[in-house]
Amino acid sequence: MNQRNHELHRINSDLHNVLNGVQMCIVVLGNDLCIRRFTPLAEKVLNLVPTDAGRPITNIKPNIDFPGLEQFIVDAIDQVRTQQTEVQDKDGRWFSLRALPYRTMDNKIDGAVLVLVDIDAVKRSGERIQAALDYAQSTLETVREPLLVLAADLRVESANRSYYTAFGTGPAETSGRFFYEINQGRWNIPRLRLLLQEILPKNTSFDDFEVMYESEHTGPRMLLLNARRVADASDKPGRILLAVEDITERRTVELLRESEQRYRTLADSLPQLVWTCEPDGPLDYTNDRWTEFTGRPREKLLGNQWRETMHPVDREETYVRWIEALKGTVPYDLEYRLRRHDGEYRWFKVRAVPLRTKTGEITRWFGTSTDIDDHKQAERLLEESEHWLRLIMQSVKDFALFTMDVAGLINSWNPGAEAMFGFKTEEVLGQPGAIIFTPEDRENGAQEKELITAQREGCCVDERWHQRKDGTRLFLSGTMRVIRDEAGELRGFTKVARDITEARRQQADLKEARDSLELMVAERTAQLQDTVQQLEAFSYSVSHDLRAPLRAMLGFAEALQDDCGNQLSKDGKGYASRIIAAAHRLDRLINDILLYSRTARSSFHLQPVDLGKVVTDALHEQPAFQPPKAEIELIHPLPPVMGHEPSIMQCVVNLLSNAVKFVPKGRTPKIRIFTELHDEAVRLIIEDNGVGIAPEDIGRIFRLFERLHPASTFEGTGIGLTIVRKAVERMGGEVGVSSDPGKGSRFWMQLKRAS
Amino acid sequence: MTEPPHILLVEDDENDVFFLKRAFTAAGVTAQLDVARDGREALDFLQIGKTPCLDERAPPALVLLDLKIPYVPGLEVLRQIRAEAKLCAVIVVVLTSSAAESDLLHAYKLGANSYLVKPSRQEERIEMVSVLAKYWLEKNQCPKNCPG
Repeated sequence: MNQRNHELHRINSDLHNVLNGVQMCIVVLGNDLCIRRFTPLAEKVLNLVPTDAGRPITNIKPNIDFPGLEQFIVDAIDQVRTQQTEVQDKDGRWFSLRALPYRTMDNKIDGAVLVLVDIDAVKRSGERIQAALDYAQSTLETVREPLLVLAADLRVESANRSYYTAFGTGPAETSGRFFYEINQGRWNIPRLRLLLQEILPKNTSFDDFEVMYESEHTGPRMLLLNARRVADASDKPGRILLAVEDITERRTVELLRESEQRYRTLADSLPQLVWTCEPDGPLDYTNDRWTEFTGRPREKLLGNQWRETMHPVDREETYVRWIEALKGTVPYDLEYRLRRHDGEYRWFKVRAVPLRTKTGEITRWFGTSTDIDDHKQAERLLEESEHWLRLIMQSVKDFALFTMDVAGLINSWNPGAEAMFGFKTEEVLGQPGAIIFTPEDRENGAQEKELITAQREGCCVDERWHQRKDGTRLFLSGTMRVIRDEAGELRGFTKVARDITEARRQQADLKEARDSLELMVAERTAQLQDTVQQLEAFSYSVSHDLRAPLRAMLGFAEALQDDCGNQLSKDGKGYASRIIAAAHRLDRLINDILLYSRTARSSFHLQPVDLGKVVTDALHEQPAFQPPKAEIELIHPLPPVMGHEPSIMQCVVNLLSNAVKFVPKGRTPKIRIFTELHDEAVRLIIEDNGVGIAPEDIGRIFRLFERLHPASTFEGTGIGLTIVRKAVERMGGEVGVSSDPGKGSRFWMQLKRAS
Repeated sequence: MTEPPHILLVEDDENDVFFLKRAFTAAGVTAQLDVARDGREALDFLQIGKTPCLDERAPPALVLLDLKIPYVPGLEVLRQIRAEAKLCAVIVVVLTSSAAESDLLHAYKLGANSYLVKPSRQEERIEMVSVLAKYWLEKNQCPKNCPG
């Protein structure tokens, strides 16, 4: 017993030491779940104190968070099976918790043993590994690009979902199979295979290996393959990560972008305004030309803003056409005006075509607007000029106006021609121009000759008889001209003709009238010459026959005085004196009349005359012009004139005679002679200090036989000034007088200046 | 004593002859004055066209020739005088009432030595006669003999 006690005691001590020695948290429980023993480490973990021995474990609050602890222990006892779980304490440390049935030596179950082992470090590293694995897996899964992981022998170890989706396969068809066999061997590309095989031994990689992959579902795809070695510490050769990038879309977009860029460049280089718009109208693109033309930046054109530059008048029509075009029934093809940056509106020709989807829906409109203003203006001018030409041709009624083609066939015919020839336009179009010629001229080829002349000289003018439709004839003055284009190419002929039948008849009448007139004039001239001859004969007779008795009268009266003076009474002598005076006056009268008649009739040629010499000579003509009888001042210059010297002399003498004669008794005549220039004429002025002429008499003094004074006051025949006027007029000059009665007169004669 | 000069006056107007003779007297000009009353008489007097001369009369020193005279006009008389070689030294002074330019031209063309318009007044007539005598009969030199 003692032995047994000792043995027991030793066992107990050993147990106690074991329990204290192990760095484990161990709690021994009875069937009643009361605590029997526990190790020191359990005090800390399970929050036990030594007095807790004997108390049920359910009464204590352990530091671990495990609500099912009681059942956990009960299950171990009842099922006689070790229960195991992992729990965390309040600080989050992981522990492995085991509940073992307590077996007595006699193999009875007497409670349970609770063991808590700190597995935090282990647990944490495991978690990290799992997290890394999860991360890797999820990375593989979340990567959009299809990925394959290949073993060194190029067998597929795994693939991501993206791969399966993209290539229409699954793990069953891929895992463990050679990469170049999967997907119906589409990856069996020798070069690719070689590259892949080199990766692990040579530690290489490759990028952007382009593969054109023919997919059953999506058609040809452009793929880029990238491969890397994935290092693995445990796995010496490592693995290959193969990424497949589908760049089909990207390439398409790139191509699209490139193509769009190209088209924009193209659009900008076009002279037209280029635009695109949404199906219902707002512009979404305008080229640079728009901005240049309107002066608006692109953002001020897009949408419907561009409409502000459209001519208000054109807006409604444009809208209507747009609506029609939208219906798809008519093309959008019209003209409207747009306002240029400087405010000027210019015409544009606008065309747009819709871009449609396969189902026919319009996705966009593509349009161009071409500036046709210059063209339109030229068109308008052409139209105007054509209109004018038509109007002119139509309105010219007095002239026949028609044109012919190069072959001489009529291709236009105006109303004037219709009226003149009696042919309607439709009757002559296409007919040879010779249709209006007389049969004789047609026979002679007159038309052909005209065409040839016109071509050679550009123009052919003639006057000839033509024939109307009804056969009657008319005399025309016609001009044919060639029509050539800018290049000088013959395009046809134009002919203008005027009916001068009547004019010709009138001309004939006129000639007849003229001839008869000439005859009449000749007769009259003969008569006149006859008269002149008679007049000359009369003058001759006057100078001879009339003067002879006068001379006798004068002579005998003088003889009476001289020879028989002594026998005459005082009265008788007086009578004889009167006879002499009267006869003398009559002699002068006859002289003057003869002079006048000579001046009026005789022909003379005008030639340069030295006026200074003539006047000087005239001053020497009569004693009455010399001092002391008169004071005559001659003021130079006296430029030469065109005239007949003897006539000028006569005029000057006559004027001087008057100047010295018509002075009041007792006054010495004072005379100034000078000239004035009047344009191309020289005016010789003789200014006196005589009695002057009353204004009412001035008009009379140049008339024949006019005398202002009785012969008793001033002698004279009344012919002197008349001779002056006649002579000056016959020399192409003028005479005149101004006077201040009582103080003097200014007589002048004006003749053309000699050069 | 030298013989007075011989003057032929061709004048149909008796009055003019009368006045001229009076003027010669008044001017104191001594001359043998013959008067032909018309053209024919004048031509006869000058023996024109008659060779040899019927009488021994020398041709006159001076002919005062009126233009408007009966039968043969004065200008015709002048033409015939100038056509006669033996009369080459005869001075012909036209004395007429016409101052017509045509007469003047004609007269000079036919060889008149001078052309005078008959004065109306005696005073002027006397002056004219004395100037004529002084110039043509005294101063003027003529060939003594003309070729026959």
